[in-house]
Amino acid sequence: MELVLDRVSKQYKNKLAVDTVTLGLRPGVIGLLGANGAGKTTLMRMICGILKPTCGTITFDGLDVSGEDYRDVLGYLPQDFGYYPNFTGRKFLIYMAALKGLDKVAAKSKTEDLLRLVGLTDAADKKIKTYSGGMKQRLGIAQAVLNNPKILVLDEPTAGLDPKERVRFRNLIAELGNDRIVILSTHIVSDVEQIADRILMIKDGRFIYDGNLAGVGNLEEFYLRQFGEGGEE
Amino acid sequence: MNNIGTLYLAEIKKVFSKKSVWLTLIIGTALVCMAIASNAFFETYDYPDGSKMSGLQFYKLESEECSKLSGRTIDDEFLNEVRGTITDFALKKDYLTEKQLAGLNKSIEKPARMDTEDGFIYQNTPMVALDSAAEQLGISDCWYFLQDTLDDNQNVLTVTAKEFNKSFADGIDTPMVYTYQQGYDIFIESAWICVWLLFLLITLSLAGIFAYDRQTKMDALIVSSRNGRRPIATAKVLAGFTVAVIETLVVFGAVLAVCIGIYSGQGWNGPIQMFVPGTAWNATAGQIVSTYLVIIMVMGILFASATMMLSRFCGGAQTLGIQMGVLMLGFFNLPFKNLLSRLWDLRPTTFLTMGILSNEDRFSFGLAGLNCVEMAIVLYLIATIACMAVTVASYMKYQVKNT
Repeated sequence: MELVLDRVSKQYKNKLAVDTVTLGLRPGVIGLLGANGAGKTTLMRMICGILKPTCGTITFDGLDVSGEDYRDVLGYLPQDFGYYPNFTGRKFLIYMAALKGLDKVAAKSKTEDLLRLVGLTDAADKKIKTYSGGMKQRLGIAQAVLNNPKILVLDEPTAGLDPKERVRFRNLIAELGNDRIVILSTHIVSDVEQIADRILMIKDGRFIYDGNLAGVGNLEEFYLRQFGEGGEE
Repeated sequence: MNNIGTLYLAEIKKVFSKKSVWLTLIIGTALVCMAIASNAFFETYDYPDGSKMSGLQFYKLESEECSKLSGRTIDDEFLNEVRGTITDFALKKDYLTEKQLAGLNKSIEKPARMDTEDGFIYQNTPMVALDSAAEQLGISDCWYFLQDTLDDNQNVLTVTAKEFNKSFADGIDTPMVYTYQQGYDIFIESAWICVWLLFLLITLSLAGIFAYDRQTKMDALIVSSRNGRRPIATAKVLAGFTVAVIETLVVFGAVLAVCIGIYSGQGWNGPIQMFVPGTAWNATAGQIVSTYLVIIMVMGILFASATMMLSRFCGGAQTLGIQMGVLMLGFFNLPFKNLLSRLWDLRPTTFLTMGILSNEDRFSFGLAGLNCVEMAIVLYLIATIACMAVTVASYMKYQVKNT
């Protein structure tokens, strides 16, 4: 099981967001660190097949990321998690299950399991617009794993969560990373230093570090050295 | 599983879960029905003797009087029988001021407009027939008198159109049988209002079908899902068409029910020459109502596909704005007469206001010519397919670029 990025670039009108990235990713939690505007979200979107690279290829075990077969094994939680505000949590998951190709019986059963897993059973029949930020993020992770994906892409998943929820979320992600590729994009160092098997640091569309935690020592200090005290470039 | 059925139902539910759609459907349909019913409910007929009659009473009386004549063959015997009334009508002109003639207008006006020789009916027949009645002429004389005028008007048509109209009209049953059809007459006259209401309704219902996903940022989740490309695009398109069909049936059904309820449903199998004297269409009122349902349904599907295409590329509010602009643009006629203007006359937003049943123009492509209704349906279907092809093809390549 390997996700391969081969000389991938993305050029916007006047900005090179991702610059000739070559990478191979295997099961485990991969922490993608970078400041805002470093190219994380663009890279995530290209990995998810929803944004076409200007050049280069992305494949998963030979499957092109623009194909249906690839999307069948993909789970994605975008940075700004979108939802239909008038849907209830349960209805939303059922709808997402249909989008992910689950049959009705499997969709219902998986929805109930995941509502329990993310602690939303009691709020399942409330409209999503009444949910707190943390509840929405939990619903987001639930929809991402509905199809038991082999590749799970989480773009800034802990944004807006309180410390307790963040810990719970980290543990959940670590568990999910045992048998699949989990790409966790964030600019919050503490999110990845405890659970990432591999750390990728991106700056100006290029990787400036690719290795494990041991290779950088104190991750936060290393991060600050690269991106400045504010974490921004 | 592509789950198109589940996704299709979800899209329909999304559309009909919007309060604005329900409110517009209910209020719009109610207003259109009220406008059609206003003559019956808000008009009062005052007579010189001081008595009054409500609109509803007037139409009820008319229906009863005309029903007595329904089923009679329109010939000289028939004309002779009603000649006294026709003469009164012709001389007095305004039957509304004469209470003894109240309700008889349809029974005298419509037969007076008939000329059954060779099955040809001409629009100017009424005045000639009235004059003829006053002069004690027979119905054959009416036809002879009209022949020159008819020939003059035929000169503006192509040979193909003349031949087709002749063969079309030859099929009309002669002698014609009188039938009271006021309900269908009012319905055909009011059909354009249905189209405008449908245009607004369908635009409002479907402006967000693609745009809302971008607005709520659901697009990223959808297109990264297994069924997030062709299956969801197909489901949305099918749902859009279904919404258009449902709304068409509701509006069409409500307006037809009001027309029949107030003005009676008699004459379903009667010839449409009773209320469209100049038409060469060999059809019954029922067939024309069914034809209108087909035209309006095709229009509704075209409105749906155009709205969905706009929604694919623009925001919901922009889509609404553009469609309102299209509606306004439709009010303008081209100031010249050529193929372009003839095609422009087929634009759906004003097509039904153009007296299509009296339109003898034909479009010829080397095969049998198409009349304006057939041509309009062909063009609407081509436009629908084009809009849908653009919508689905572009959605297949859709990329999430917003940040």
